[in-house]
Amino acid sequence: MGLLTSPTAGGSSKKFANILIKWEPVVSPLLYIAGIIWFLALAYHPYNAGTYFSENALLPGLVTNEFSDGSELARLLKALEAEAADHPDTVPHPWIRAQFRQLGLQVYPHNFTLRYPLGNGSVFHGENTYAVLRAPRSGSTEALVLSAPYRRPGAPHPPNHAAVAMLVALAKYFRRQVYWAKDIVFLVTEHEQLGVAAWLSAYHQQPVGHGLLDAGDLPGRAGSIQAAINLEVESATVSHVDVLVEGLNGQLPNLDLVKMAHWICHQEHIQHTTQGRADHPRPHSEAGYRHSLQTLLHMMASQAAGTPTGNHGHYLRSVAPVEGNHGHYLRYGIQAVTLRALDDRSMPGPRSGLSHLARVLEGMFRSLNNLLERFHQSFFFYLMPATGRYISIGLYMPPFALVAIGIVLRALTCWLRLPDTDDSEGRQQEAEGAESDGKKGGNACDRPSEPCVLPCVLAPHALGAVTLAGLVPLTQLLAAAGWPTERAVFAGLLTVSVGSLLLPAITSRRSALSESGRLLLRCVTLIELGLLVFTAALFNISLALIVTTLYTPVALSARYYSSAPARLLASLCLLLVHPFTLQLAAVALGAPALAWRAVLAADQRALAVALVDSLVYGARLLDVACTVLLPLWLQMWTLVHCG
Amino acid sequence: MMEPLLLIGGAFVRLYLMHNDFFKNLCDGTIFSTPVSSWKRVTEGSYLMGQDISPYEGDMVHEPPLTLLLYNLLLQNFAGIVPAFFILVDLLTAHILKRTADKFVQKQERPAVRSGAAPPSSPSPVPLIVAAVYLFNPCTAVSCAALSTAGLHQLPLALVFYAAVTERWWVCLCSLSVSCYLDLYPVVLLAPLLAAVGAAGRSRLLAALLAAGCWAGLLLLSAHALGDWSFLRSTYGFILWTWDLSPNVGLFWYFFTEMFQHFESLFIATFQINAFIYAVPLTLRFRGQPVLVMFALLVLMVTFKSYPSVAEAGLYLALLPLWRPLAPHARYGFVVTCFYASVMVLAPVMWTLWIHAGSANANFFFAVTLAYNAAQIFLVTDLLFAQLKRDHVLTHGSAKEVEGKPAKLVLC
Repeated sequence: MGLLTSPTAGGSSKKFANILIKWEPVVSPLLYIAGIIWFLALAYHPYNAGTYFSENALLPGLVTNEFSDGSELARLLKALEAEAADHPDTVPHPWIRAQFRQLGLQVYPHNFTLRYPLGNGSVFHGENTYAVLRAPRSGSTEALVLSAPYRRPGAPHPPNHAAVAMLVALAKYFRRQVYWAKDIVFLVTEHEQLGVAAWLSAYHQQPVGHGLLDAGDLPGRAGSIQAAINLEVESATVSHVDVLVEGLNGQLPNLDLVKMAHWICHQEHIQHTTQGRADHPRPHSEAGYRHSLQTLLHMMASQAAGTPTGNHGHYLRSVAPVEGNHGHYLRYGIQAVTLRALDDRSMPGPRSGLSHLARVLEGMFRSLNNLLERFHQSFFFYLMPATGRYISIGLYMPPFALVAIGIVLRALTCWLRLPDTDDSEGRQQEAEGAESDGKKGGNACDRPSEPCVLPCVLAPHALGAVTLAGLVPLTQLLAAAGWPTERAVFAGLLTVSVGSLLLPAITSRRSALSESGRLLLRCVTLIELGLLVFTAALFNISLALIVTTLYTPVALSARYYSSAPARLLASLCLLLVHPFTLQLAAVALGAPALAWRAVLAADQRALAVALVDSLVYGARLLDVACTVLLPLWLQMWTLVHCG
Repeated sequence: MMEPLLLIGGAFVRLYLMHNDFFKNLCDGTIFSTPVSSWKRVTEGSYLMGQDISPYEGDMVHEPPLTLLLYNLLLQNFAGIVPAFFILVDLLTAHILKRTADKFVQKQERPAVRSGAAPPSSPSPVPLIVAAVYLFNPCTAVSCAALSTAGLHQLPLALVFYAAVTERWWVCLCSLSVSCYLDLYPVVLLAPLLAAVGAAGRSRLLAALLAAGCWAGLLLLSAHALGDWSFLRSTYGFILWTWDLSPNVGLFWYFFTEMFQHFESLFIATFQINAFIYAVPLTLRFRGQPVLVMFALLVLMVTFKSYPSVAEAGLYLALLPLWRPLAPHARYGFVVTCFYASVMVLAPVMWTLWIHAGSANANFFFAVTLAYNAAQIFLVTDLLFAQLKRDHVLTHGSAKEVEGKPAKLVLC
């Protein structure tokens, strides 16, 4: 290891740095625009790919589906409807259990309790019923699940009696077949998502919900669950079947399963849709492109919400919310979809009967029965612009990277523009401390004269963490004063959002930021933002892309402007992308009419629901928004306002 | 004044992490505890000992006998204070690291102050930074919360650095043998230490004999306590032959999962040699700076050992601020920082996606571990290169011109 002085290599790195500093302000916005155009182009038929079966063991549709007992199905539905009318306040578990027991299945009850954490804190009880059809051809090592939520009359959702009747009818049919190699579990749940989450938690002995959800134990089990189909049937005639895929935190089921659901519907000549939208007849045309782009954006909107609901159900209160109970299976590595059969008058084409739908399910289960190993081939990360098309992670990542790369490039130029002093090590330490969540802090201010960037980074993060931790106690406190939970959460978040606007005034009073201090703060903020969006892209590309598209321009322009109008404009732009504003905008976009009172009420409800989702189900959207996105926003706000 | 505050803060962070569901789930991952440092395996060993079965008979326990006996004692009598024990060990390590930094900075400043070139300055913040980085580094904090026994392994290593800086060779060599006894790899630090002992005018042979004797004594004691030598296979054999290929942040597991059995021994030797081979050349090249060489070897050791965990990275990251004077000459500070930050975020994310969600696969996590190890290599080469450049500048001045043109220092 020796040293040489090389005259040829002289200043080459400086040259590169100068080129980067000179051209970056032009290149970053161009890449941003190019990335967005590229991404939007992916919805065009020739630029994405057709779904295909990667798992050959599925052998879909090789057999003729034989279910034909439509009269039995109708009888069961009628009986259940009568039972439901007799007991409007409870779930007719005795009736359901009797039906399964008559078939000779093993039937078990499952009780669960939720201690609602917010407000006054009430306790909810629920009961599920499940029946296990033991596989005649193997030991109970593997299982498939067919589940349906039971909905009481008067629930906000349309009744689902037909699906429960279908479960019983299918159980009766499946019972007579000899080819099952996997146990089949028929599961009727109560309280929508909560019932499924509790049942899965008990099945796997894996507590969820921070001890709030007492799932208890199960009296009987089948094997390791390979796949699950959740069924929702709204009427006895079916215009089309919608396949819901989005799960908790944006997780998606294996594309093979999704493809299989669509394929078997296609084979049985039932219309099938994704995001409630059928395919355009001429996908190559301009109208076809617009149609699939809209489908893609619908999927992104519901995936970005991070809750296992199709069509961002929380916000669309005018139409019935869609609950995708399949979303909870995904977190246990169980591939699952919800089939939602409905009779939509606006949908053209022939109507099918329930026995038609039963044949679809029969086909799916016979296919799944062929599985030799867990779903592992095909894609887990994709977006769907049409029922038979997908955009894989390899296709959507490059345009996403282009949209986000400006953040990284700007961070690099900020670093390069820092004056070359003796304490770049100190800076490095500082940056390191800040990025690892402020944990490694305590090492700024090497010299008294040095600007203190650390408080500007740590204070917002601490504020975000305190906000998140304080929401539950706040609702309890305000409940004592008679405030409803929804208003308490809203008021709490609004107070923090407005109050934190004063943060730059407080931090800058302690230590004014010098030019290099501001550059350093920009650099740290941009790196953290870059880390956030690239990490989010792995979990939930839709959310990541939406946040990146909105935040890249403001992050690139977040600096101190000496002219007052420019500063005002920058502040306005920032306020437009405040997490709180974004939430409001998302609700307003989903709301049917733009009456501000209705939007406000919907927003309050959405925030409370997001908090419950985070506490009970482990949805991370609110957590990340409070502890990372809000602090980042505040750092940018500091940058704009610290002269 | 600041130090007690930092220590209390560090203890609180660890206590909080121990009681947090989210981190509990994170800790089941092998990022934080490897087969050689997993607490679950220690409890298994303790149970086996209680049943009068040799803990090393199966393939479960790889903890050295003496520490296993210590943990057994704790588990049998004071099971409740085990978390407190690990927290105390971490605090002690942080304190020793701070004292090390104190002495190191004093030594650096002394010549300049004595010659009047620099006024006696206010106390340097570096020691506090060192302690803070060790205490609040997520790597060490979460490892401690996972009760990874790697936390205890860092204590003698920190003591080696302290004793080397304060030139207490006797203590230094003894703690080195303890460290070798626990982990085997720290034996590489012997090369720079022997050079330093020689430079201080003591006998190298005596020092080597002392270290070897101390190590042998510990082994004999273990054999005496257990009654046989079967532990050698389960501890050192297990480390050297790398039988367990469960994923960790190191380089071995992915490579050897793919490897044909036939070539295994050749490549095991090739991989293991990396952890040791740099000791002598680096010692020869950086004669005057034993602590720098020890630091570089520590990083290389963590990179190339068979079962590394991020707890070990915590130690060298804490000592990094000691090399502040080299910072102006370092080139990749920004790159390395970004690498470390992204790896720290992405490793648990990829782990979750692969193991918990089942959506990703081994390649996702492997890519992150590759980036992590690349960052470590970048860090150590950049640091050593910076030292060379600094030496050059100190002897030749900072003007870098060849025949009037600006020039650049390059490695050859």
